[in-house]
Amino acid sequence: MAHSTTLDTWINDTSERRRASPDLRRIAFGPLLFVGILLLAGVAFMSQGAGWSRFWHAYLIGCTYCASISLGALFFVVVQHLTGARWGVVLRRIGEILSMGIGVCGLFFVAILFNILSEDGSLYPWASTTGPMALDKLAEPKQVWLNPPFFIGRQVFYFALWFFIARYFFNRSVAQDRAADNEPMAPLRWWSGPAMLLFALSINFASMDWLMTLNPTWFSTIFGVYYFAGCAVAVFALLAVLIWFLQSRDILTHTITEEHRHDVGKLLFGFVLFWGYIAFSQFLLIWYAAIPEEVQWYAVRQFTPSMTGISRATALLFIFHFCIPFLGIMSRFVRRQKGLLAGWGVYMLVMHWFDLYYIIAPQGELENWSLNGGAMMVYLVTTIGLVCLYAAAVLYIAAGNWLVPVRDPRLADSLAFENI
Amino acid sequence: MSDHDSPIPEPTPYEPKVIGMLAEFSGPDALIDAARAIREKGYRKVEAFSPFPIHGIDDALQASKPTLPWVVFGAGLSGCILGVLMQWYMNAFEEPIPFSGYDYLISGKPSWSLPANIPVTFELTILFSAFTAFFGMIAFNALPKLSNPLFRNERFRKATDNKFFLLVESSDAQFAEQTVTSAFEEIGAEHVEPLYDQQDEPMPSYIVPIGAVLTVAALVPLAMVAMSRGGTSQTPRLSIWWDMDYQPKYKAQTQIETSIFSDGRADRPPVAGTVSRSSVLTMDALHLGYPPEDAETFETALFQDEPGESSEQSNGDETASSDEQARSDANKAKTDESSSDETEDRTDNEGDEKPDGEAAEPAAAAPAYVFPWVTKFPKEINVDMKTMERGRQRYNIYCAVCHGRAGDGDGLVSQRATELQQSTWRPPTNLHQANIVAQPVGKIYDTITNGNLAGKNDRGGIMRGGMPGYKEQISLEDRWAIVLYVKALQKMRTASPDELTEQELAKLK
Repeated sequence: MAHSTTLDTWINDTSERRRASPDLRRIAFGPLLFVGILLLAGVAFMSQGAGWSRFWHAYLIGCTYCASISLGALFFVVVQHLTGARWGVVLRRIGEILSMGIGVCGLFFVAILFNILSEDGSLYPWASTTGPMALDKLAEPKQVWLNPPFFIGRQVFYFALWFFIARYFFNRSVAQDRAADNEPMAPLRWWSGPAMLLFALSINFASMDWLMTLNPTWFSTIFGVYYFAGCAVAVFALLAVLIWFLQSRDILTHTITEEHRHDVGKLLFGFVLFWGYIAFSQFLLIWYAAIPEEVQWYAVRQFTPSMTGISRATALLFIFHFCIPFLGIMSRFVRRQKGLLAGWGVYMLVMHWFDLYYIIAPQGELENWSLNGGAMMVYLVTTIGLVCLYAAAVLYIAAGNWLVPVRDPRLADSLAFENI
Repeated sequence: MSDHDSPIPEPTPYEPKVIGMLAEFSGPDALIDAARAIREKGYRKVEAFSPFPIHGIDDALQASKPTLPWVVFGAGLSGCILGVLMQWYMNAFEEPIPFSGYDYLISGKPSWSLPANIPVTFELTILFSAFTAFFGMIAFNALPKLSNPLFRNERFRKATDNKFFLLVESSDAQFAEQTVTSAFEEIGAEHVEPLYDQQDEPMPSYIVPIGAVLTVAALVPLAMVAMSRGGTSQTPRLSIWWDMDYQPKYKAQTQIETSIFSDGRADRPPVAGTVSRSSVLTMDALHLGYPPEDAETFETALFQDEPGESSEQSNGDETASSDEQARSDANKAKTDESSSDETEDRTDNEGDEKPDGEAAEPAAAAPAYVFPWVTKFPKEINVDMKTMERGRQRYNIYCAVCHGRAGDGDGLVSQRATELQQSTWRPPTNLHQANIVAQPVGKIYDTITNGNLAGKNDRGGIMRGGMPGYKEQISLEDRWAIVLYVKALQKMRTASPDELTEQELAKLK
């Protein structure tokens, strides 16, 4: 086949850039860090007093938003090795860099741990010593799981595990860039199995800890999968946007082709459908059974069990996070247009944020919650602040690195990849 | 078939026609290059054959964009819309009657609730898309094609192995054997040869009789099924999966000697702290059918109310299958009860809220104690034609299967059960029996809500029986609407011309 010639042409092709500039460090530690800290500090200062609980919920939205991108990227990287996929080699390095962002997400969570230790219940009701859902008032079995020392221990374990996996896959892959043989990459395939298993279990428990325990008496056994589906949507949406952004700056213009973008589009489409499937399954079972301890979660989100079932927020999520993108990304034509796909990527990134907002924000305000502009600003600005810091960390990691695994044994196959 | 039987004319040797030029290439890259080259030479009817799918061959041949995706999309959309419409029609659409759906309350959900409809809608979308994709692919490729001249070509067999072919069809505007051959040779074909069509051969004559025999044989099992459906059999039915028929289980409310539970009961008492559903219901005449202050005496009072009801009812049950006898029974009972006319008057005019209804109650045929069933419709219920119409619909959905559309106790289920001589079947009550006609609205409401009275249990409590309660299926307002309609059904048999105005009489004449 023509792969060897493809690789030769590619190596001699000097019309595109393939390395992240070392100057990115200056952007990361300059404007991004400054803007991020300024926004966060501003919102925190403005929210003191009555808005304190809202600020912490907004902070959790931002944290879980950034974490979902890194976790989705980690999934993408590990699954590439697990399946021995060839098409995605040219995209894997971007995924690896994004997955390394899990480290800074761990730092974000340190603040949340301090919030828990303060025991004022402004974020997690069970962490309070007094409130209506105070720890000592919870049923005995839940106390075993929901107590500050164990909770903090679990968070340390999750982030240490993810960071370890991400770092291992990232370092080995980067080492391959300079290696003469395939030695650095060789063990990754074997480790991808255990890594995927640990990832699946840990993301399940972590999403329960972060999001489900906001309402300690509510439970949904599919919730971990729901959050995971959001992570996958987020990372493929971001990949679509990043490809467009990089290629508009003459980076990887010939390496990442229409065919790769098409596949990113397919995966984005697939995970939008998967998200809709999981989200609806969770809703349908709870709606149909209409058991008070389960249905309370949707009741707060303006869902009326006695009426037709869905109203405003839940319906908005279903229509805008599922129905519209489902039809929008369905066409092969859309997936093969760089700009269109990136547009849908931006759209899904916004919708993924709305999904997390829908999960987290109502827990802070319960019956008083509604989609209103003033409160929305707090949530948005906090997220933007955290995303700035997250982006700074990711740019710092990317700086000076190859943006494509240049000596990956499967690179030639990936470059020559074509959809049937 | 007779065509083939007629003497065959002298066979003329078949002159095969050239239907295309077939060129062989060594590899996928050579095939793509050749395909592009032959297009550039102006040939349009070109087909490529290869052992595996080749990237870029569609572009090289400039194959037209397939229309199938759009067809599949349309089919998926149709499935989606049809799924929604079907469920709307079946669950939420009532009129007009000949095409009426079946608005049946399920799990307390509204008749028209989108979440419940999404799974079916989703499945239909997939079903329509998948079938369209599958059959559309077959149709667009003009399959099934029983014979293809290409398969008679010796060299073409390697198209499933290691050779790659291009075919220029003779229907191409520029087609000429010589020019196509030279064009192919120019672009590096390893071998070029004409492709001939073949003689149409008649279908072998034995296929039709064999097919006929097989078709008839295939009908035999179906015929046997149809035969056994109509007949009876003394042998017990075959149980292939017997665990559905004979389940290792205990019936509720039974006592078992060898129970795993120390108290010997088959079922467990409710968990401590269980809240009974009735305790959270509103307790008023609208919900109960009698004034709430009498709730405590309800159980004991039921048996004092309307003495001899259970015996009379079983009497009525036995005769209910025969229409005329039931009717004469009812007439007899009517003459027995001196105050029946007065009672009917009261129940018929409940809409007018006549106060004399209360006075009529003590005059009944000397019961020692009369339970104070409400005799008028609660004020929350509008006694008007709208409620009546609603009651008619509900009655025909829920009640008519047993009680019959006219209330004679001859519904289809009852007829079938009687026909099969089901020993456990208790025939439904004829609603035109005098004691039923005499029942106050509250009593009828209670029967619809909780089921009818079946007798006392060992401890002297009431047992509901024969007819189950319908409060889980029929909403509160609808149960009262049915009461209204039942009253109208009863009135239909007893009304006299005197009660009508001149105009109404004129209309009837």
